[in-house]
Amino acid sequence: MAATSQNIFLGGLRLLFANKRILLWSYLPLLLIGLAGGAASRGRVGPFLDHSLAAQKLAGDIDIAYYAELFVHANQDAQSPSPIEAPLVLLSVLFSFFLAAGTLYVFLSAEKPRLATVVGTGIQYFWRFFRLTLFLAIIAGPILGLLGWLRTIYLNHADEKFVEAAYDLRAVLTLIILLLVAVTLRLWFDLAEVYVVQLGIAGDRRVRRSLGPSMRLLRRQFIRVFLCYCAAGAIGVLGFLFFLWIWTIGQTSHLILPVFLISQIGLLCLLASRIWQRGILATLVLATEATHTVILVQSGPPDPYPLTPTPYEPNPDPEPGSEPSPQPNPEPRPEPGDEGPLLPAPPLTEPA
Amino acid sequence: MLRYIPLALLLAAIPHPSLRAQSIATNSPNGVSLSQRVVAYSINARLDTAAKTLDATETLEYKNLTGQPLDTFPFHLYLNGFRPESSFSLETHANGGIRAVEQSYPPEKIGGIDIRSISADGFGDLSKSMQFTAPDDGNMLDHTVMQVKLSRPLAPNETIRFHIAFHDKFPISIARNGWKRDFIMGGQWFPKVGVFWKKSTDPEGHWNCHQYHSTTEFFADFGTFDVKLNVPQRYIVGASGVPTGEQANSDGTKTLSFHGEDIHDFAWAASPNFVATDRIFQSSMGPVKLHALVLKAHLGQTQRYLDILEHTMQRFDQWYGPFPYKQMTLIDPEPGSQMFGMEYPTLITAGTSWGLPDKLYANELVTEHEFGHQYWYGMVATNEFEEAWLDEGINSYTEVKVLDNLLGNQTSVIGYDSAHMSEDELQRLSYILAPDYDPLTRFAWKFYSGNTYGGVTYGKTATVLTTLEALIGEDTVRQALHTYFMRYRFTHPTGEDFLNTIKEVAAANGKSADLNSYFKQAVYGTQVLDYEVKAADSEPTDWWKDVGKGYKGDYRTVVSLHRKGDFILPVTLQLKFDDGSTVYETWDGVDRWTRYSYVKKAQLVSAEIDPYHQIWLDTNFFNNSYVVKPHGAASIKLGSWWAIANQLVAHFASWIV
Repeated sequence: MAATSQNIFLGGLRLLFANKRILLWSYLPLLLIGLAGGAASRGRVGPFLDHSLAAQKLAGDIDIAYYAELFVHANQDAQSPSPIEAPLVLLSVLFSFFLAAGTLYVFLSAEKPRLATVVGTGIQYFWRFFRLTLFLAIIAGPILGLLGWLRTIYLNHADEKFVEAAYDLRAVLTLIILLLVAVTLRLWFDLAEVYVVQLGIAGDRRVRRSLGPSMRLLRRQFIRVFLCYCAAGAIGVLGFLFFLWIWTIGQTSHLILPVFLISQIGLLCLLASRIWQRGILATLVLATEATHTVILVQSGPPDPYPLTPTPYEPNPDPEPGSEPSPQPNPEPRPEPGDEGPLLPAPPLTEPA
Repeated sequence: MLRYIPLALLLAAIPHPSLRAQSIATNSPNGVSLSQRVVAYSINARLDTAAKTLDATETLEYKNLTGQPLDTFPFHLYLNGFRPESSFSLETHANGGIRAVEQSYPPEKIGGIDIRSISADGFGDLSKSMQFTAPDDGNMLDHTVMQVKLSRPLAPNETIRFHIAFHDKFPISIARNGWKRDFIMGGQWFPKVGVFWKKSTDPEGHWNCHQYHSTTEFFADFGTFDVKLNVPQRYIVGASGVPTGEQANSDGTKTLSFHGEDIHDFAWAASPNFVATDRIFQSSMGPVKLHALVLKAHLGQTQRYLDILEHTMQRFDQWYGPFPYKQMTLIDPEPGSQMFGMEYPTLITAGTSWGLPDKLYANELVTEHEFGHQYWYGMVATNEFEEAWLDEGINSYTEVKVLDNLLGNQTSVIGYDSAHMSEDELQRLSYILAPDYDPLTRFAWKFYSGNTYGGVTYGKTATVLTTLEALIGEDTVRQALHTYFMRYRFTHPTGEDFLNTIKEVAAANGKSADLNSYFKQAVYGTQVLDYEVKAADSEPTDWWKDVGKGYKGDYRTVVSLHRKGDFILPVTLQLKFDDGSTVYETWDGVDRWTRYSYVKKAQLVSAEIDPYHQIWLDTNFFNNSYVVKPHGAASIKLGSWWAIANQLVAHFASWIV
């Protein structure tokens, strides 16, 4: 697995811009959730507020006591409809399974980001991504749990010696460490997701076979990948915070819709950075594969078949007892019940 | 020459100012005692900062001014409250306290006070007569009250001198007391005799010595305190009274001496991390040294502490009465401890945190509040067990007035342009969370829960007095508080004394409001005040005709008011019409509802009860008005917030994939 010199940071950004519609597909469920939640909320507080002079205290600058009082009364007296927000959020998380797989498929296949493609592929990969998420939970749970426990022990110890800024600094630093580990795990599994899609394109549905290659690739190019991944995320968060700041300032005005739109721009920053991160990883895998293919073609005997559909990385070391995957595999055989990739793999690994 | 002799003799008879008796700890004119000094404590204590223990000997002189013989003496042993079997812990565990809910009881949380010996001059050893009592709840494991029985009664005007040796074990910080890291707070740390209390409802008087409860504070007689405290030399100590000496010892310790006069308690705080900063405040009785002991971690907050303390003292001196003591000590307590925000005579603990924003007035709020207790508790020494509203409640009201005056009446808690909150609002908010469980006058430990105690004792009292301004005027309320302070300082008044003073001052100022009815409901009752504009609308008088747009004829306007709560108070109704006219009505509120109707060539725009927003006791401000043409700005704005919140939750939840 040789390192590539391709700029994956910009490559990921190019994928994002080339597939802007994915951003739109990602945003639409959130917009739906926002509108539904907002309408439900308005239905709950409207009877209190719409005919009240005191409610005008809420429309402009923020008189915190009035908000608190509203909260008290809304909890005591409201004839509120049953909340719809929680099911919508769950639905959104479900949809994100489709979107993640569909996005990666579009990135790897160079297909056009049509909604049908994204969702159709997402449905096809749903269980594989679901299993991968379970793996993530199984691996990340104990690791982060242990680190969290160690952090608590350390902070309890530190609390005996350090106060205020000195203590808070330690609390923040250890929290950052914890977050970095969490980000690393997320990065690993994001990379594994890329391999799952790549494997799927090759007709292999085995999710566990994505973990080893993604780990090895991550280990060999960790600093580069990690920095790019975090930088994309940080840019998104900074953009979000910037628009959140403008949104906060706008709260003193009565311009509700423009201020709400500003918040949506901030939200789009977060969404875009997440897609950008996936683009970075897709670029990395594609570039790594292309580099390896060149070496393979130059050093090995002539291959009677085109290499196109055979990803190298996902299948570097077949597991003992498992059916050896042919190298190369020009026409992946779909497993029973697996319709296999519906679309041809991209011509990214053609011999030089 | 002889003609000058009488003049010389006359001059000689007048003492030179420098020769007049001076008080050590107060600015009392001519050094006269300000209180009827019933007790005189002399305590010699040695603090073990490593073991968090203290060993001391105490001499207590008690002067029997009760007019009757006394043969038993109860003592408070507050530190015994910090044991799992105490009433304090049981109540805190069951119903919550004002600081924390005890869910577990690790060994370091256990505190206690052990009487090693007790005797009295002329009465011999009293140790064998010593027994724990539990006058409030019968919990004989409580151990926060002990009494001794004398071999013969102490005659009226006779003085008894007790000698007590005791050992303290301080718990890790809990309810204003104990230690945190190397900080130690000595509050309620010595055996303190109860109060033989005579009042109008009990003219003969009885001992008043309640157990320590989860919500209760303290009650004691005025007197003098001479305390010697032995601590390691690296420690800095702040204490009640004034410092009178410091002596370095050969064993690496130092002995600090303090003297207090006309106070009823003595507390101290010790830490090696204090930095002392002083300022002089000129009260109307003389200079007062403001002595701030601020932790190194909070040095940036020192001037903030002193500024609010000085400005608060100015307002109290100007509005309510003079501050007589020579020193006021402010303690910045250890972060993360439960020692913040507590009052003792001439010593308060405040509380802050590093990086506290300038416009977030938590520091100012706690400092002002605890200083206010120098008046409402420190000098007007009401019974905090039985009538907590007289100290916490009146103090919360004066906190509203002082902070609103100093920091703005819209911004006295949070002062940003875009987001703000005032003290009036904060107090009312704490009240409306639990408005109908307990009356103000309930004994502190008998409240439904710690939350209702806080909401009613602090928030409701402040809100009752703020609403009282609508009935008799702000100036009259202030004048009543001034009269109450001047009349009852250095005594133990009751709620009746306070309310009678208000009625007396209101009557003197010609205010004719029915205060008896108001106090009956607001102070002694649990009635909730909630008026609403039930309906309001205008329609053409010929409503059955199709009048079309541009109708210029008469409209019939009907407005219905509803008294939702049981609290009856006359209210003002303001009606605004679209021709710019305004109509006012006054409703006595006796019936459950009333209806007003008008025929005018104008349509109603809005109807509002209490249009000048003076009735702070109303528990729902949103239903006090009705705007005929609905405006959705507020609900849409809130809906947009909720929309964004949901979107963010959904987005971050999607990170699992």
